[in-house]
Amino acid sequence: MSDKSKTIEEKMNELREATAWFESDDFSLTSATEKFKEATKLASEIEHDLKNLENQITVLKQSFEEV
Amino acid sequence: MDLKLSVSDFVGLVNQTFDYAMPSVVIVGEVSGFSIRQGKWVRFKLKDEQSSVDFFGSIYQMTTPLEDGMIVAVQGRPRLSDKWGFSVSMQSVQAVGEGSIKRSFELLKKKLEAEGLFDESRKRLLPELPTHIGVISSTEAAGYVDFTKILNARWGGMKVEVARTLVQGVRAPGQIIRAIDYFNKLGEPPEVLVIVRGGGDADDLAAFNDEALVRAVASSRIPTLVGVGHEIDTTLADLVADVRAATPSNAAQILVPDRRELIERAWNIVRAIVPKMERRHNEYEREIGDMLAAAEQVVANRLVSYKDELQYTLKLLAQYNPQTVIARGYALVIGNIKLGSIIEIERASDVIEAEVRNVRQK
Repeated sequence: MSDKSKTIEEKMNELREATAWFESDDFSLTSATEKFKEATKLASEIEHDLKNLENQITVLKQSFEEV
Repeated sequence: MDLKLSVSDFVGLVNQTFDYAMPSVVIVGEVSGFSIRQGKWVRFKLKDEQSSVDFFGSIYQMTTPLEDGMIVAVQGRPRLSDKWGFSVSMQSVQAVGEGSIKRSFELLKKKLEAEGLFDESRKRLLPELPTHIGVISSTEAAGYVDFTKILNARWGGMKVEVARTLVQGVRAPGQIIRAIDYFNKLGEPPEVLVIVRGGGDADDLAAFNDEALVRAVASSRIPTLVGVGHEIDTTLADLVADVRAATPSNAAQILVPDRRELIERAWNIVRAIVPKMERRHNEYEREIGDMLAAAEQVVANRLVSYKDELQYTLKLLAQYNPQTVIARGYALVIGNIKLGSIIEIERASDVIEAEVRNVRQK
């Protein structure tokens, strides 16, 4: 299930942070698999969110003809 | 029965008839006798092979520069003035025909350039990911269809408000200006204003060289993106916009990222984790190998040390062995040392029994 409370930008930032963790001093082999799973889940959510985004197009009823 | 009217009543009746029959009319012809009086009032005639009509207006209604010989389309209202006779009161004007349009374009471009309207320093950035956009176009036009098709394919989740206007002809600039004004006055205006129109000939695109329209685009407080015509077409509205798109499709490409690229980027980030994990894993392996090697070395060093110590101790023990002392020529006395007792004296080659006959203190 996609987390609706976060925007795509927030999820992209989380994904970047997750990647940075693998380069950081906090890296541990014990947590690596879990972190990789989290990153994969985020990428799946981003894909799902993006594919399902639809624009709401409204053609205004106003006439811009000179009165 | 004939009507009998005063002159003023006749003028009033004629104007009333014009208002009813022709509230607004567009007349095309060649400009002659063009003049500006008192820096404000514009007079000229439009003529063709047979006829000539007077036009009157102010420079504020002169939406394109005029010169004698230019072919123009003037939108106006026929009026009979009580002092000046018949003329058409000009509301807007547009050059017609390639030669006139080009000349008008060059004159206006020069004027607006001198005012700094096309300066790069005036250009504003468009929002990176807009959530609310205003579109001004004709919803029936191919350019609008192209724009929305590409926009929807590339990105979603946006509120798109579309102001339907004419995009060609003398009435188009006025409608587009009012649409720009409408969006700018909204309590929650869009983050970007997109004006699009597909390709066409010089006459079709002439609306986008209208001075009032160009100034409206320039003074919009909402950043503007203009995509008019094909790649080779340039209008003054393009030049004055914050961002110019080559075509309506290109406007959509400029406005929003492609969701497919972003999805690919997200998965590329994930894929990039794998070599990072491998590298960190190799680092751990190398570290463990180094530690094991160091431990082995410590054990080896300790073994050598223990061996040396053992040999030394063995040597020392050998030195302390009584047999070693006896072998060097000394004798070992065993027994109770008191007068009369029998003791044994061990030497390297024999053991002597002896009696203690005297014990003398040293």
